[in-house]
Amino acid sequence: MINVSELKKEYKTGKETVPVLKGVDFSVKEGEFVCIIGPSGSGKTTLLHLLGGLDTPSSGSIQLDGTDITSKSEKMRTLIRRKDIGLIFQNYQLLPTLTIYENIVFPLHADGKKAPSGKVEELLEAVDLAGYEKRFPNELSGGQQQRVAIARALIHEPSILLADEPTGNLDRQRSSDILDLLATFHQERKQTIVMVTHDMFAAGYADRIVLFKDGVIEAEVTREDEDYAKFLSRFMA
Amino acid sequence: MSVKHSLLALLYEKSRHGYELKTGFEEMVQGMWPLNAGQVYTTLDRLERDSLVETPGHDKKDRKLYTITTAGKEELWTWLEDPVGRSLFKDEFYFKFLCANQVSYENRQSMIRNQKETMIKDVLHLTHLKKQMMGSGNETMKLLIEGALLHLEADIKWLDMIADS
Amino acid sequence: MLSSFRVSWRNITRHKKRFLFTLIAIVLGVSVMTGMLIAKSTFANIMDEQERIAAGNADFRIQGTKAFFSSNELEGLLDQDQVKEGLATLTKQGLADIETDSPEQATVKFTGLSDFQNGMIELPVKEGDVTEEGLIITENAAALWGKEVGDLVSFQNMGSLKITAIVNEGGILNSPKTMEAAQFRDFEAIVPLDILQEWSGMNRQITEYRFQAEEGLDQQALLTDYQNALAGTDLFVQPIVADTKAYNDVEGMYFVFDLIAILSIFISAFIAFNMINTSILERNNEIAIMKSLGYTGRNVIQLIFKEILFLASIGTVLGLGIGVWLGIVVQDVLISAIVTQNITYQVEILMPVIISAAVGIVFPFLAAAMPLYKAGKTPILEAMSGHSREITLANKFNLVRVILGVACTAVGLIDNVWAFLFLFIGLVLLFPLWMKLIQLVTGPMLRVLFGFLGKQAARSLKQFEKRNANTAAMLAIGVSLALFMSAALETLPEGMEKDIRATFGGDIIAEKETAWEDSEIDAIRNMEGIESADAYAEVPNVTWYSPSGELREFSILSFEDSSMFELIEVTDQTSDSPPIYIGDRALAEMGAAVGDVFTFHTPAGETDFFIKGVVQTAHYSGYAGFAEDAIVRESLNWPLNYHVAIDVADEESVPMALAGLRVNYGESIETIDLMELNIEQAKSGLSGMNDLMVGLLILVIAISAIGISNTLFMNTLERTKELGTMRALGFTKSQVRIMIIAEGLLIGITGVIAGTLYGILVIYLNSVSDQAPAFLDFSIPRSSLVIAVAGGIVFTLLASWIPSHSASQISIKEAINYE
Repeated sequence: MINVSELKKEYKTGKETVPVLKGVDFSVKEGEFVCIIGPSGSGKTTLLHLLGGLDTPSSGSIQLDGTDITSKSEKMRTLIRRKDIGLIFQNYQLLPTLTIYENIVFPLHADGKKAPSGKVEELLEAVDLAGYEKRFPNELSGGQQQRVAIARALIHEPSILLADEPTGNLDRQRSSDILDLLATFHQERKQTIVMVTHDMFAAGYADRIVLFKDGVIEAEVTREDEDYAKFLSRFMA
Repeated sequence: MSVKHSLLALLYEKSRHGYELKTGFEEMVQGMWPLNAGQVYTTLDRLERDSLVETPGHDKKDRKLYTITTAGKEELWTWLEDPVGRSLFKDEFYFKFLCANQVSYENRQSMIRNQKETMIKDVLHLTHLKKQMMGSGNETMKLLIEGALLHLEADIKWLDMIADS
Repeated sequence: MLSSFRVSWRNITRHKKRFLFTLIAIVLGVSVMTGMLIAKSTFANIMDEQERIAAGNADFRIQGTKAFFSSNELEGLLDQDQVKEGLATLTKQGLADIETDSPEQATVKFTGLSDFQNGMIELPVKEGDVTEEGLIITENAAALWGKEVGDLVSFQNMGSLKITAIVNEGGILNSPKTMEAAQFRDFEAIVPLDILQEWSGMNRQITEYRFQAEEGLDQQALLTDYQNALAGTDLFVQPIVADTKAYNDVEGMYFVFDLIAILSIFISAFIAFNMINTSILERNNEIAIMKSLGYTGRNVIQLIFKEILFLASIGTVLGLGIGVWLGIVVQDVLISAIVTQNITYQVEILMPVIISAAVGIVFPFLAAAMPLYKAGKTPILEAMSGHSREITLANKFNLVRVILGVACTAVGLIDNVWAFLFLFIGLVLLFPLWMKLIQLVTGPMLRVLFGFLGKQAARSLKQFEKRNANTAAMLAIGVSLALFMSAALETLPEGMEKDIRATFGGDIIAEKETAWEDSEIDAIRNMEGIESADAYAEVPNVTWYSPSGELREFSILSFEDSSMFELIEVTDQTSDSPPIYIGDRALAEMGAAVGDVFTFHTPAGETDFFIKGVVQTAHYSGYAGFAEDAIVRESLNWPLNYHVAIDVADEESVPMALAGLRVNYGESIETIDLMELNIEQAKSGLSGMNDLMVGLLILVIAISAIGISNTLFMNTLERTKELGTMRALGFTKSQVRIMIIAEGLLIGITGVIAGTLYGILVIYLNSVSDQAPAFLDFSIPRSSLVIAVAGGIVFTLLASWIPSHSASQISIKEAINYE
């Protein structure tokens, strides 16, 4: 599904070059729920942006279903993104001028398609917001907005869902709702999910946890691993 | 302890024999609290002695059937209504921390780290459990897990706090 | 307090593109205004100068009702104590002895001067000495004749004279520039009076005697004295007046210049308003923090005040520089379009620059007054927590806006040249309303054109409704003005032609040095190809006072039927005073109305006339009066007809008629005026103006288009996060671009539609107006529509281009993290 190798990313601030990713190798299998966890500034969000084609790496490759997206033009990456990738952000990023319905169908419209009838309603039902079609984002709570964002990220049935700190702005209870929702989509629809977080409670939902530190992968652990918690505790400040 | 009251609760539901009570209990706690048969029977004996349950007869396989008495019901209600306070030293780690400081325990940091590790393990375990229970419909248990997670969150925060001090 | 100007500078240049575009708008606004003011005041200066030169330093002139009179008649009349200096002149036609294709090209109009060292006539010397007695010609004549100072020039049947001086073209002497032009115009030359009298055998005969009164005398009393002394004679006296209104119809042009100056500064101020308003709204939170830290509302205002000062000063300084250049360019175009001679002139810069500088600095502050006030009032807690209490306030404001808008529109419908400024203010105020209405149409249109992107664009516009409405309103003003002006310029030549045809009085007008005898008129009537010939009188130099007490002069023409004018308004009333009809421009200058009794100084002395009607006429562009034949004879003491208006059977007969006139009266014909030639001249004068006006109007549309750029910049900047999200969700760069261009187009098309409708309204109002020139018909020429609509849309597209580009370049990553 996703194969990342030797991925590097540097940023130039004035004369200085700051390496953010220093050579990352990892992969995600279809149907997997992978959590990338690490302290802030470790480069995990940059990695997610690169996976989503929002940015280009300094070197290395990212293969998405066998296609190397790093060699693609900006336009091609956009086209791939709107077909294969669903994105969820920490601050929801709903479009304020659009109704909930219109927000959800946006990725389809961008691609010049229409939503199959009943699809939006079904998704809204799934995120427990049935009947909210005509509302505007500012009428919703943070948790509700994020649930809309999830519906929006899934409307075009992307092969992979990328979530960047989806619970970062929410309290524990609402976080749980969001994570439960993601877990449901993972279990019931076999949705591949890559989630970046620094919240270990979120990490518990994943099949596999990638521990990220200073631009490199320090360790990868699965639930079956013995030292799973030991690693995690080291990363959780 | 609450084993006594959970047995009363199970008996309040219907009359059961000893083994049924053991499986009923384990089902209620999602198998997270294994109960041995001996513990069940000693508790039942004590309940019978206090007239909270009675044994009106046997079932077809000649197993002793237990039924809740009126006093038993009252005891159950009283217990449910009684609020639970939280004692500062109920948590054993608190005590360990107190003692470690008392003796200027030099492995204090590793003690804290190990505790944290354990708690994180608990967190991962509970979240995984919760995920597995998704769609099972056992809302009560999910809420319990949710509560435990909230406690764990607070505990881990506290551990980070004392680790830095 | 952060008194440092550096902080303000940092604030204002925080958004570089927005700053740049606002600056450009102010620069353009100020420069157009400066340019217009310079062109106008320089031109007015030239006119004044020409008037002054034409009038010379003399105070009075004595003329006869016959073409010539003997200087003997003046003897004993003039009191030597009162006259400081006098000058007798004789005007006579002649023919230069040069080789030409036709005799008409050699005609010369001589002015014989009794004194070459008089202080009353000022000649712009080019070469030679104008005080030396001899032949004085202009540079054009010298060039066409191939002569220099010192050369001898001969004149048929007269004699020859040495050139003593060559002068620039100007108020006194004017000669055609080409031989083609010489076909219809005389060369003009000055010769000594005695020589001219000798050449023409007119001993002691003169045309006019002008004199300067001794200083300190009561000129009004003097005039009355002389009027009394000359009463009952063939002679009459008139004060000498500098009034060239009869020959220059420039008020319309000044009006347009003022209009363009006001509009350009208005539009650029609006762009400044949009920017300042937005920048204050954006910094709501910052301002609130400042206030929470102890800034007073005053401090906040001071801080922003400095920012505006920067913007206004830089814009004004740059604008003045460009404006001076623009003014000189416009001036050059004007001179070559209106004044046919090449005359020297001084560009008037100081006052226009001072005025423009003042306006350029002050206007941005006026524009910023409202936002500044709001900034000072920023509530701390609401702003810091991001809540706004704008909504209720905005609703209240909207209602006030609509009421004011309706009121201004109502005022704008009043029939007055300046009233329609209110119409435009009303347009701006009501624009949010129009915008909603128009978008009912344009919305679906763009949806068809751009699909989902168009729909999205329409939605985005609603976010910054007020700002977008203001921007579109500016464009609407530009477009409606362009439409109106271009329609006016389009119909003007036709209207003028119609006008001239209707009121010229004949196909040919011939003026003779001596009066036309009845027998001569009959002879003309009998000439081949001629339908009719009617003599009429033109009483020259009739003077009167304008309401401001200035002396004015015009001619009164006699009429039998009214083929020389069209009535605009006439009264049924009668009066003891003789009736007179006044041309519209003259009546406006007189400050009088139909039905008034007005005093004129005429050959019959001071005479009261009853203004019977106001008329519209091609003669002197309406700066003339008309009286019935009998009244001209009796009340104006003007018995002779020097003019004849001739109608020919068809156009082919014109040359034949002209030839006939030349053969029979050639010697004494002073001027021949052809209706067709007049039409042609009127049209060609306009076409030069046309290009200039179209250029200026395009400039006005361009300024409003800069407003669109600026607005789009602000819109996209505020939506950075949103646009980044759209990109993240799968919008391609080109989709973002198209969407922004669609937004620009929505604003642009709204502006163009509203502008077109208002333009048509203005054209209509003008066509029914009594105040506007009557030849403006209600018609919407297709070419004007194309200029206004296409201009608006093309500029909108250009204006959307850069913002759409920078919007598409928004970094998704940064936009997502943008708070």
